Amino acid sequence: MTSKEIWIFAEYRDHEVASVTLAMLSEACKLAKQINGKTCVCLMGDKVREYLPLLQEHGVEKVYLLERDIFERYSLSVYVIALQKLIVKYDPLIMMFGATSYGSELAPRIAARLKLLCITEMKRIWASGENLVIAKSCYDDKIYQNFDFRPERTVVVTVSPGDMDGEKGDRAGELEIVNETIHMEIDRTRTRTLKSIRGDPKRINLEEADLIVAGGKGIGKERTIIEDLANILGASIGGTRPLVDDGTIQFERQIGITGRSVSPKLLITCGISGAREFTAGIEKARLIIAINTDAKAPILKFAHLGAIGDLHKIIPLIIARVRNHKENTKRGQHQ
Amino acid sequence: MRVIVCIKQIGFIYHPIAIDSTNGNVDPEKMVYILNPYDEVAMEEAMRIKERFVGSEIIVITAGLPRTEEALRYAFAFGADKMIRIDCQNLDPWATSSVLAETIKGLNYDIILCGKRAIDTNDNQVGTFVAELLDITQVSGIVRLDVVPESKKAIVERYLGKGDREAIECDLPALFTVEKSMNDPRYPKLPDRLRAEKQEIEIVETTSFSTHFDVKLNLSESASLTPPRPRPKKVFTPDSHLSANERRRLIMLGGIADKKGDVLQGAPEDIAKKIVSILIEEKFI
Amino acid sequence: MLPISGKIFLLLLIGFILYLFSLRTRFLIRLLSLGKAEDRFDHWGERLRYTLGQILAGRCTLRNVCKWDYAGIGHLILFYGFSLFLISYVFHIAEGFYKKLSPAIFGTLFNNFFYLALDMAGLVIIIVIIWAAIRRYIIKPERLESTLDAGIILMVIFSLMLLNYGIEGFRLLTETKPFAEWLFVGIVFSRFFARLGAGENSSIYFWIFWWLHIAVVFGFSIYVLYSKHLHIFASPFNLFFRPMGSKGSLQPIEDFEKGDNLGVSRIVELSWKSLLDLYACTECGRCTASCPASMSGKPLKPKEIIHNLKTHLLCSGKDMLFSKDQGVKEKGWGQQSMVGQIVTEGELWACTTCRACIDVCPVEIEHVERIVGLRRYLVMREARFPSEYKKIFKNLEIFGDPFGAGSLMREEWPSGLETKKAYQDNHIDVLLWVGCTGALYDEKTKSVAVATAKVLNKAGVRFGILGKKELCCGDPARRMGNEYLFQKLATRNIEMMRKLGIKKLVTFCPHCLNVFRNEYPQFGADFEIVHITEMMRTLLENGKLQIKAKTASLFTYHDPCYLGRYNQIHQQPRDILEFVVSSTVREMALSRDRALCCGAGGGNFWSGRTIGRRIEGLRIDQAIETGSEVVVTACPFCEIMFESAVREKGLEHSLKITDVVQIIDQTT
Repeated sequence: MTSKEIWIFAEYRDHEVASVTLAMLSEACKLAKQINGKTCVCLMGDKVREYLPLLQEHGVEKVYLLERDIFERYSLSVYVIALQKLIVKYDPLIMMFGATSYGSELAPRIAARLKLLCITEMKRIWASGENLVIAKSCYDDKIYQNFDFRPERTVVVTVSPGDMDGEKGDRAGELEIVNETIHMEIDRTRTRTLKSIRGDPKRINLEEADLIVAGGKGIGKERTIIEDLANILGASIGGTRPLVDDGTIQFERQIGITGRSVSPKLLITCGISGAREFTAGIEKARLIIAINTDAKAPILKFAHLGAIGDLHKIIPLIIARVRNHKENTKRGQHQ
Repeated sequence: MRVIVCIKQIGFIYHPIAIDSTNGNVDPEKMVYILNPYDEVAMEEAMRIKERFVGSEIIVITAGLPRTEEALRYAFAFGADKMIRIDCQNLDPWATSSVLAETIKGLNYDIILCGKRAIDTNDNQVGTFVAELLDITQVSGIVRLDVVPESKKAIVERYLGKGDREAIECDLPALFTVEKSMNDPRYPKLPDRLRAEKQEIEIVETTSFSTHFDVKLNLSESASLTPPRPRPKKVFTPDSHLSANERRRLIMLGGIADKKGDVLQGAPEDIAKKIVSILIEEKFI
Repeated sequence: MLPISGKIFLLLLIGFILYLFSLRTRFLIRLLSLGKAEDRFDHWGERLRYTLGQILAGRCTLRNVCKWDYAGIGHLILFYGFSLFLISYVFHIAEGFYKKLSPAIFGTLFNNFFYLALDMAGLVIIIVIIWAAIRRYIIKPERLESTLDAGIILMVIFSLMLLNYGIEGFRLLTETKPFAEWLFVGIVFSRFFARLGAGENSSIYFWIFWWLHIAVVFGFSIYVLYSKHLHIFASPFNLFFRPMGSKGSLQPIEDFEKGDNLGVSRIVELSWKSLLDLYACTECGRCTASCPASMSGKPLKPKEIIHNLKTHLLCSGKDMLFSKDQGVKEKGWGQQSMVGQIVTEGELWACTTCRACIDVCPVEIEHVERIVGLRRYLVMREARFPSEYKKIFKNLEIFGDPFGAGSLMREEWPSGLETKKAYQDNHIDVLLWVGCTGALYDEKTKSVAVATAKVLNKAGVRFGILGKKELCCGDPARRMGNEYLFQKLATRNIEMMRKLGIKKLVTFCPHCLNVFRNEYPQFGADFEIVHITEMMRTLLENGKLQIKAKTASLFTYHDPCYLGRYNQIHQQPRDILEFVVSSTVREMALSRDRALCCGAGGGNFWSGRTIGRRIEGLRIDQAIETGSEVVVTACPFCEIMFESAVREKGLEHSLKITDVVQIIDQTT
């Protein structure tokens, strides 16, 4: 029988825990309270103890720590074998992965190998008596599939980044750490990660960009204003058709019906009125901040946050404040 | 290079309210059948391999009812050499993967390309399941593929987030699932489409298969369908409580009081201050 | 009369000239045979009447680009004058063999009048030539190119006139009695020559001028075949073989299986009539001057396309004929696609299919059919087109509308109104064909649909809509060159209408109107369709619609291309406006047949990318010049384009865009 442990596969990069991991943790904590279970994390890698305090802050009660040099670089075949052994040994109730590049392949591969139930891209999970109820979105968010079932074995789920909130769970009292040394028989690596390629926000595709600053006719002739804002935020530059037509931005940077569809975490629009031709391309943006002088501009219906004012005044102030903040945090870190 | 492309004909719902209230199923009038856009990208990538390496062959496979042949022919018109349809109902991902793997087992191939997800069911499972059943290398969500036939390897790139990418070298044969932004699929030329209309499709029956139908890795059949429920989303200002998706949906429905996002007004300094504090709070800086 | 040796020489000369003439003519005609077959041999009588009417009354040349374009008048004068001279050349040659024209031949009166006419004509022609030269070389209107060819022609005609006067002058000196009475100009010349002291050798000079004149006439007659002046021979035929069908239709493709049926790639895939067009071009430049793409700085210049095609045909013609004779596959230029070398893709996609070029062309060259032919090749055979079009094609195929909204969404706009669905209830008099833009695009176009429905209700018209059964009429697909997709949509629409027993339609979209009226009959359709302005005018005249109060704003009316130029519906909207508007509706600088396109047609609405200025901006500038407050038009595409232009210029508060139907709705 499955234990009542809810496992989360923790992802991290550059000394930071992935936001999807933290988001999953909050959901897991809520569920754990409902079923009187334990929120656990699988942390794989080499020298990863640095993440433990943060995970504990977010409500992790137990950590399955797999620290070995072979886990330092992600490799599908290696990780699958390790997790497989772990799941077979401990039989958790749920194994949660973020639907990231890694999670999206780990989850179904493990489920297939161990013949486990696999539900991907779920939006909500909660307990109903002995049953688990999982809602997942399909048909481009137009329909939810709701699964109501009694789990007999480990259930593998994935969660799409950005679909859950990441409200912090309560910090657990003691953090239980289980060190596992997995015996890997054969090196079955058929893939070798060659390198990571740093994305230059100035050059990456808009579809890949997490942060976008988009300019419209309202920026007038001064392209530099959005360039400066993009630089200080580490964002990519996009824009509307008029900016392409007059050569301010390249055609590849056009957003809209006849341009790119973007899904950044943050989109700041500057001087864009929000005609349908543009807004059709930003429907999947997570957080839209729109700066426009016209209170009736359609973009304000679309944006999560609208700012009515002159962008030529507001943006330099934003840039100054951000620069200030960065300097303060740097100083703060050094202290 | 021998490439197999797995495609799926999906039902695309174009109307915001899609569930028939009388029977809880998707209203067929609100849906059209198309070739999964991710599979088009896969097909285009297969064509690029074919154009780069003379003498390559592409086989397009799908599993489904006779109506899925329309999608199959569209994919074939890109420039494939052979079409196979596995005759079966619309199955859950595991069963689909089983019949696909069973069929592919009997073929010669170097690369299998699939779309990363089907935009109807949104499961992201079939590609990986097939790779597992065939016990071959896989990389999911690639955005770039370079094949090196002489050394039987391929080098792929995929997103890592924040615009970073990862380059991975794989041994062939391998299965790759493609991300939508990998390429821009072509529009098939008319003579190719006319030829695809007449081209014969090899039909494979599943009765002879030893499949894993008994194992249920997915409960799609017993799932109930509901419209999306607005979820309370953490907000940075008290008033708005709907995500952009919700808001867009409501705008599309029309006739509903327009929900405005929160609006800041006032002196530029105050506005800038508020915006920056939100950016800090949401951890963008 | 010449001495025997002269006569023989003249005879040989004539023979030689005739030989050269026939050689070149044969070559030119054989080139035409390289083109595809096309049946333009119907309606002989009507064709003949039309051609004669155009040429003799000068209607062809009087087509002007705008109100102050008077070049046609000059040309007409030249035409009449030179025709007279042509007759005189016959007499001139006859003089070499027999004797000159004199009272003895046709009588004194004829003689006098003829020579007088010649005299005067010569003078007028010289004045006109000088005017033409000033215009071409000093004023330099943009549409005229100062080519060597043009210069030679002007010089030749000028010199022919002078030579003729020279002949007259010297003849007067040689003869004792004047051979005609009213040679006012000739006398001046003769006195002039006498003063120069040429009186003694006048007969020698006479013959010198006489032979020079013959030489120039003969030389010119051959030169004509190698220059743009070929139009004097080609254009009558071109007018004769003009398309007799409706103006707005493009030709369908019968058999999609044959690869080279799919549009035009090489020059031999054009029909012989299209090739004849190339001969008929006078290089007047009116087409380029009226082309909205040219006006806004896009690469398209219709005259250049025609000229490049002509050069291509003449240069590679010899090779192509050779290959044809030998039964060998063509090599070299003839084998290659014209796209890229002779015509660039940028030129092709910039066309808005407004037909201003064809309407203004004196010899009725069909530029649009050519451009669409090349587009068809690019789209169907090569799948090479602006990337934005791919989504449109796919949307049309999958959803039946170019926006990808889906068929059920067509039933959203009439919410609140009671509209019958024709597939449920066929007790209707007429079907309101809404069109994709009206039903699906945005609030503005939907409000036009709503206004139409309300007005029809007010007028007591029993109408229904097709709602979710409506499919795109196919106009975008056809104009963009995807003929296969168009015919698929067309046959499905026609079949559905037949099944529902629909015979009469009304629409407010001129593109749909054009397709149904002029193009669906190509596939056996048999419906009657009117534009809402046609119907409304009748209803207003009959009092079926009562006007409550006229509107007082200052309006200017814009003629949509597909309503005006394509379907000759200029007057009905204006009549309607007279009913409902209290002030006079102003006309823009270019209106009716010469109206400037809004820039949406030919697929440009969908591509969105712009080089140079925006066409709709140019048109709005013309609207602003009239000092109006409202631009009223009758096409949803025009309205969308103008709203965008107004928004871009920041004039939302001073210039409003509206549809005729909306005004009717407001005032009834």
